[in-house]
Amino acid sequence: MKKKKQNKYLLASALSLLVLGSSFKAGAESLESKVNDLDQQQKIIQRKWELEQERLKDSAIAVAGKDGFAIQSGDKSFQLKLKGLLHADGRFFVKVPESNGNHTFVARRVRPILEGTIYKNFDFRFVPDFGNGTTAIQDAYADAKVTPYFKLRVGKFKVPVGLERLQTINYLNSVEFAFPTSLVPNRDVGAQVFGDIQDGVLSYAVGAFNGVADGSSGDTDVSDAKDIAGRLFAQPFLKTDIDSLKGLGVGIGASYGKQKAASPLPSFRSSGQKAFFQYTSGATPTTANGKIVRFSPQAYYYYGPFGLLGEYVQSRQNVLNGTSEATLNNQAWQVNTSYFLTGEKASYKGIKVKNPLKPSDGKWGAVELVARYNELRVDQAAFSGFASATAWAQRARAFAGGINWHFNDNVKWVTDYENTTFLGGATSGNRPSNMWLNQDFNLHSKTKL
Amino acid sequence: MTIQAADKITLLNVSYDPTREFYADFNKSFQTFWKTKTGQDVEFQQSHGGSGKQARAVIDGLSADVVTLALAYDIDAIAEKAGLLPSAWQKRLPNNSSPYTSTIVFLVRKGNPKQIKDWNDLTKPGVSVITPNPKTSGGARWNYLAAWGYSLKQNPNDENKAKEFVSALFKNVPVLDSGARGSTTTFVERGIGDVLIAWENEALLALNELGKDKFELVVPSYSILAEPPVSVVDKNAKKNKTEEVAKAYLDYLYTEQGQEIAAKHYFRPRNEVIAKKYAAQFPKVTLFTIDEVFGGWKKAQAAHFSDGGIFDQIYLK
Repeated sequence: MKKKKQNKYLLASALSLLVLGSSFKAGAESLESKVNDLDQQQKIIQRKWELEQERLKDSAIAVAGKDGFAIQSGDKSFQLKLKGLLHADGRFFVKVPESNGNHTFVARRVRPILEGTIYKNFDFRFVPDFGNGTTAIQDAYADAKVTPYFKLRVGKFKVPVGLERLQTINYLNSVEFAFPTSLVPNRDVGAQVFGDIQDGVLSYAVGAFNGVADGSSGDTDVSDAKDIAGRLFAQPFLKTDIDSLKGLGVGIGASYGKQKAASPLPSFRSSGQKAFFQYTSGATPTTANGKIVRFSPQAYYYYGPFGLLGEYVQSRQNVLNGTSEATLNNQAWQVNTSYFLTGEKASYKGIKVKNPLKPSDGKWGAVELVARYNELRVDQAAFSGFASATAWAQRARAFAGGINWHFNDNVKWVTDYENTTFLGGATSGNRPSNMWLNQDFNLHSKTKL
Repeated sequence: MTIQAADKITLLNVSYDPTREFYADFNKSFQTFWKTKTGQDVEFQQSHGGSGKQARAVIDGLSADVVTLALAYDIDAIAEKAGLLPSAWQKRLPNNSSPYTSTIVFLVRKGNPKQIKDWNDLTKPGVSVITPNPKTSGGARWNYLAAWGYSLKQNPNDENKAKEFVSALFKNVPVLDSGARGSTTTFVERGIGDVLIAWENEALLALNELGKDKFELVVPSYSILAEPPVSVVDKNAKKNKTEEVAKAYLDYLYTEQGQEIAAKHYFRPRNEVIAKKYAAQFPKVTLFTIDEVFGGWKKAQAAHFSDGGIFDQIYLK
């Protein structure tokens, strides 16, 4: 009886194990099947993504977002970028009228910007400017990119001489340019070859241009002679491991040309946009009389939040008034230093704001302090029959302090206080100093592709 | 024969996806042949992709000296839309300008876990089928028409059943690559699907190069005779001053050397001697031609692959 019970127990146990085993096997097979299905699903999704990427290579892409507005072909050989620049300024003089200026708001720069690429190696840029209530073409040029170290540019563009002039206007840390920029050409029509060697360790540009007055732009030439301009700029430590020296750049720019009587001569303004020097006009005007040579050693240094930029410009120009001739040697220089209180990395080529303005998240953008000294000296000989000593100053010195609030990478508020003192320029003594507070709301869009 | 003064000449062959390895070998052989015959060096530029896509590139300006595409319709399109060669181009070379043929077979995973033996197994639920997009790939169009032809054989003259059959097959296709080589990548390298519908040469290449321990070839009971054609693109060749070398290049495909290279790359040679020599590597299968079942490429294209055609109806619905 006991043995019979034992056998029954063993039989029941064996049956249970058999059922359990087959159930376990079926469960395992089902699980394996599900795993395989999931594996296939994952692979299919991955492959579809790969195929979509391949398809996109051949498809046009429209970009609209914080990185800008653009359309481009899948392989990026054809691109059209839409950008813009708005500088809305408020200029407030201290001690009006002694400072010889009016308080004013001004749309200083209003520039829609169209840039593009065709056939991968040809770029173009077109920039009209509606600022100051006038219309002008700032840039209109095309580039042929043969190699990174050999490119050709034709059209109207910045002449490669001055350091601050060549800086993209959005990245200027003051509202207005300093005096050295008054002595170098602005935009001119011509052709240049340029390039970067070792990704910018050495950059060069040399070109032939119609020729313009100091600080001016031009669209046509009044003579057959052409100006030659060139610039060499080195960042010797750019590709080294020496972080403290990577942001060091030194260079030299120069130009040589011949300008005739019909060529315009420059006038100089303070950064409050008040003229403080111009050559004699009227019945017996002072005119250009041949050679004009410019020379500009320049450098910058950026390390962490600290930035330092300096340049010197000498412009020697032959002038004529009646029978009097002279070679005038005008000079200017500046030192500009800046520091980001919020720790952003300072740069000649713009900054990246760490915490773009978003008060609800406690983010307030970036704050930059700026100090600048700049000076322009007109050759003393200019006042010997070529310009009025009682109307125009022989020297202007300006000290500026500023604070810039970068809301994000595209929008900033620039506030400068500048005091410019003059030597001469009055019937007796010196013309009064200019002191003004300059506010600039600066909005620019850029496009990254 | 007059030879151009230049001692080096470049030839652009725009071809379809699975001919990469074949033309890499063939070009070397032709270089030697041409150098011996003329003293001139010839360099090759090869372009491969889905046959339809390649034809469009030539129409859009890709300066092909010769085209070696998957189907005659694509070369017809170049003749008609771009006028780069005469409409009677197919009569200029033997065998309707198709120096080699192929057919459509299946590649399955080792052990054939889904027991795929013929076309009707591809429509069963749970079978994942890999084939490229017939709108862009010549190989895919052959695949599609082979399936359609099989269905018509099973249900004579019943186009509706053929449509249902091909529709059911494409419901089992999880990914549509743009070309045959892309589908091979999907199946072989990415491990997706239970069966790859492929050119015979592509399937044999995958089998022999990537391992018989991973895949098996399945030959369906009935398939299509694929005749990939070749042609000089006359206007481009004239502009590029490559007319003579381009013609000689295609003629060389019909020589014993050319035919043997094709056979080594698993294309079925036209030359009887070479075909006999390599007979063992090609499975026996009953083949039908596109003319027999569809009345030629133009009719097949218009009915099945034009915008709004049967493929669009079954795949986009």
